[in-house]
Amino acid sequence: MSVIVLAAVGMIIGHWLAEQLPVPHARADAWSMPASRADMLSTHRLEVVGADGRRQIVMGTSAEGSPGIWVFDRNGKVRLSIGLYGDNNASVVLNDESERAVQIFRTVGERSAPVLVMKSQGRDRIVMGLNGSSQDPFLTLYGADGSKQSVFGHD
Amino acid sequence: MSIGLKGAAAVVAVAIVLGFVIAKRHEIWPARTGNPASFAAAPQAPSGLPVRSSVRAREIAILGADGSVGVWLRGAPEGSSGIWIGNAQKTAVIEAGVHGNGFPFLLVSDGAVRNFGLGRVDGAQASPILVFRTDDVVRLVFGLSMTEPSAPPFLVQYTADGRRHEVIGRYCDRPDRLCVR
Repeated sequence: MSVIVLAAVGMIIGHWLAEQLPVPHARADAWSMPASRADMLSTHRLEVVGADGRRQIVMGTSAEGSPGIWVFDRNGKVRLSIGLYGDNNASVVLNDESERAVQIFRTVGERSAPVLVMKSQGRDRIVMGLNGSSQDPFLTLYGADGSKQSVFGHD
Repeated sequence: MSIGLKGAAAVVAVAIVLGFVIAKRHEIWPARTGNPASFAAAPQAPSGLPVRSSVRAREIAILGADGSVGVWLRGAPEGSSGIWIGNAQKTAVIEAGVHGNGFPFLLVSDGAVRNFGLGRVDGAQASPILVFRTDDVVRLVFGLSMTEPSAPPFLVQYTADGRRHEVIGRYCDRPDRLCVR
């Protein structure tokens, strides 16, 4: 019997066995290996609910069509949101009990300039980040009466 | 070329092993990744998966290849809820959520939470605060006053030996906030 024929038969059997048997302790990379169907759950909306059925966390799509995560307090108010705006800029927003934004960490504009905004009673009081056009850093404070004080740079 | 029975068996055995190894080469020797760029890219979604319209659960855990929890979403009976993201070695953690009292927070820290950056809302006026701590010592606090009615901005920094330097405004760092009341 030809060695070549025997080798070909052996290779075919080896390939067949590889399809049937897992490799024990094979190293897997969650970021690079394609997920199998058993490892992946795809959904348009994902909710974590309490024992009382109250929504606590929602992952899904915003009214603008962008992805986001919303965390609710016990009164059903959104107190934290992480996601993208409609213009594809990213944001993390902490809200007060009336769902008004209090602290916003986000990117702005086409150059995605990073900005931190702190608010009180719905009004900006601290704005800090990189200028959208020059990318230079700035820090601006606002008084309760709306007076503006530039500590450095320009917003 | 003809060989004996033992020789034929040896050839087939070697070929089986070779065929197995070649077919499994990507699992036995996976491509090396792990640099920041590979983390920044989201994992690829396989095509053709059925998509559910909605999923509801008490807790959701996303596991790494080694079975460790990488992402955990959950609520707690006292009313807190949030998202926890960590590496398998538990040396780096991101937490974001809402405390039982309703105050939201975002924490980026080491596994022991001795070094961190923390954005949170606190105080009767729901003031936004940013805190940076290293080796269990707060070194910088930035935000709007939690005690003064007009909520003026403040920025305070601490030296390694604990001296306080108020860069902007005033900050009451007593836990009871009595320095202003």
